[in-house]
Amino acid sequence: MTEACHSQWQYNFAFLDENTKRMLRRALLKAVAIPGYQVPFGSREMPLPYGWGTGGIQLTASIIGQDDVLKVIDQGADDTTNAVNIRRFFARVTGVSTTSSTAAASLIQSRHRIPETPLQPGQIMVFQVPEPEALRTLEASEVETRKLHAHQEYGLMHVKLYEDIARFGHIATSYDYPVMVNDRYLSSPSPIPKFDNPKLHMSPALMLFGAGREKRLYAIPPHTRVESLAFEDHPFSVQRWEQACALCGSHDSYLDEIITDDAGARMFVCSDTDYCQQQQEGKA
Amino acid sequence: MLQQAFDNMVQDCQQVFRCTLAALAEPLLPLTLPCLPPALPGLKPATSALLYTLIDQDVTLWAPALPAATLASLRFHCALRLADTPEQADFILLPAGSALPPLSSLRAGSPEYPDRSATVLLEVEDFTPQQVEASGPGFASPRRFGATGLPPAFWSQWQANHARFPLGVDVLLISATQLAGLPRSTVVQEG
Amino acid sequence: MYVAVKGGETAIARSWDLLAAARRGDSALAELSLGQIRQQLRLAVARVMQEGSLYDEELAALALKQAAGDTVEAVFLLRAFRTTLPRFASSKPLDTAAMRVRRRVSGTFKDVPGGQILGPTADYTQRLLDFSLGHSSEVPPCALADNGVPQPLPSVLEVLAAEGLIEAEQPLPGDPEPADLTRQPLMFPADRATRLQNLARADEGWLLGLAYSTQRGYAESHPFAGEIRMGEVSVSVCPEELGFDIDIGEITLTECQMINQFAGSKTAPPQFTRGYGLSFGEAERKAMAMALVDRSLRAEELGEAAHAPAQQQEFVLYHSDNVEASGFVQHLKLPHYVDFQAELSLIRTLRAQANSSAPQEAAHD
Repeated sequence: MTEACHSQWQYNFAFLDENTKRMLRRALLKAVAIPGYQVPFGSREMPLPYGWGTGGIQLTASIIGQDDVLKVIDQGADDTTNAVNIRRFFARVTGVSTTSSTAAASLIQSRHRIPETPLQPGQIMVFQVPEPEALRTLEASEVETRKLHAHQEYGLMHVKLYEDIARFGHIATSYDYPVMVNDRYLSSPSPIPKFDNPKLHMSPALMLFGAGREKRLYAIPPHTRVESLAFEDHPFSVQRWEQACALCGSHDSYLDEIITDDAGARMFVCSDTDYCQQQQEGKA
Repeated sequence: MLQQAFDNMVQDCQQVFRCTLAALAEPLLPLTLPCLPPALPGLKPATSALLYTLIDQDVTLWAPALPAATLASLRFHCALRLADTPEQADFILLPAGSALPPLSSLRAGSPEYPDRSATVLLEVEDFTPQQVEASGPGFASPRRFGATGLPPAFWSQWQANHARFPLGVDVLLISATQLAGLPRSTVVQEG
Repeated sequence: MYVAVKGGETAIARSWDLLAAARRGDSALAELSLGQIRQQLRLAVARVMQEGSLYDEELAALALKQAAGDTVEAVFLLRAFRTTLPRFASSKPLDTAAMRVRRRVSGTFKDVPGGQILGPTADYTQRLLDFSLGHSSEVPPCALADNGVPQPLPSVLEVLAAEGLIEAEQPLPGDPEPADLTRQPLMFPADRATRLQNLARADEGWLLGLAYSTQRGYAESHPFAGEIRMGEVSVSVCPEELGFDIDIGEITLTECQMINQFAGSKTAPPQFTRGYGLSFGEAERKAMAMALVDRSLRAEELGEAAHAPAQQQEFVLYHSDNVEASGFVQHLKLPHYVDFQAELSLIRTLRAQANSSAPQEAAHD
């Protein structure tokens, strides 16, 4: 190939070629039909590193269209570097409009959070997933975890959670807290804080999960039962803060702790920057 | 001889896919396809749209005899590969009025890989009468549904298909311009 | 007072400028041309093509230049570009027996048909820094032998095969199409063709370490370098509309056939077995390491005890790809504020419980 030909290089709409999109789309349809089940797919190398959202990016690339309005967040914020980079990538290869408003977005790609603003019917959430296998830390072999899912054999996870209770008095998992989807598949909600788990249950939005490096994707359709694992005498509960957000005063959002000086002074602010903004504007 | 496909393959396929994704995410809620190509001979326009969107050289399709012009067009636009029998196929195309191969004979996946299963593209006449009540993932509350032109005993076969969950096949019900998804997760009660 | 973190876009744009400036270095010095990289850093180019799964010296040189010489980053750039390329055809299987050999050595026989051909190698140099390379120097003309290397050069392992001392190389029953790991996910158990594909793309350092471990007791492989050959091989395709093969070019390859002891099993008599390695360009270390790991991964198939890391498919193959590994190790640089906050409050709760007199009564968070 000549240099002249390379400098003229034109990427397809949304970067991926149409064959790759079709492969992903077929896999997504199966994922929706089997809620919470991890569908293997022929993940491609993307122009962002594995572990930096390549699964989410491939899913978004396979579903995004010219009419979409895209929001990208990392840690709840639209302005974190990786979110900026991914949003720029899609702006460059699709030309679609982007937004930081949860309500205005038709497509939201996220790492580690679900927005505080309730999702609407028709919206699609795309999660970036580092490790799609909820059982992986308990069983390293993919062959074995496949068998466990096939037999709905989730005793390992219950034992692990119960050992937490025996040792600490409660379940010591604070994020990536395992869920049962549609009473059948044990799934990873991705490393969202367990604070966000209840937002998955019977959500009106479609939730798609992409793990590029691990080459698997899965889905939670709208209006689907999603239960965080728990025991009768140790029901599931979420994080709470004594403080309100220092910027907007919200008592209901997930807070980030920020160290403000060398003496260790700190403040708590919403991790969801769009939500925080809305709350501040609402009060003004 | 060759039929024209979409005006803009990239954008139109994306639109049709999003409609299909929505149809499976909220099953048995008929959706109107946002764009339609000229119909392939022997098939409804919506079916042609779905074939262009979903089929390529990486999958196989089984169908009862199709008009030569349709086959030639699908070979040209989708690099169509035909399966010898329905049991082997990734996609089963059933034009209106064709006999339904037993759903239990189609690829249903394995316990470890239930996704390695068939998708049935099933043409119906229309989505008017209310034959069944359905629930499951994608249903905020049970929904009534019906379709004219369904093969006989379809719903009883469907119940057997659902009973194998997570194994099973998934169905796309297609009218001239509309689409309703029927994933294996959907629970159907007749009457 | 805390100001919400804004300005990410500007900061990123500035980091791009800094990167470009750092890449160029002192502009008083001449800029590297892609031709210079291709010609004078050919082994780096070969490695980037190999692990990048794309045979294009010009693009590999560009990737190396863009990555400022970081091989793994260059591999990543090439892979990401490769994703966007449409596939026109699949080549016919390469015939390495017909290789136009430039180097061929065997560690198993003192002399072999066709002879030991040393070729361009650093193996027989003293590793003394050559200070004359520190400034421009004329290279003395390289005299080529009149008779050259016999072509095609017979394979060393043929001799053993003729005597039935080494396992035959047989395709699987029905000679199925191999999986394509650039388009399909890796599945387990992975057959040998799939494993070899994975190893061919694998990070050289990973393979080298694993191969070394098999020599140090973590798998008993007892290897001999049956034959290593390097040279040019023709690539041909057979377009369906033409119905006959056409040559589309020539690529440089290094092939390694390891010979390993095998004690025999219920069904097979004692004989030598094979480990296979193949790499783009001049890449002997990679091809040899690959051959050792290929053989160690055959433990199960040959009924050997598989207890060492290099014998475990999932362990070896899942962790071999440096684009995946590099991305995931380095993703820890990304913000993890949210999860860290969750862990922080959990640790505080646990510590509070530990310090209190009645830990079991503490409310769960």
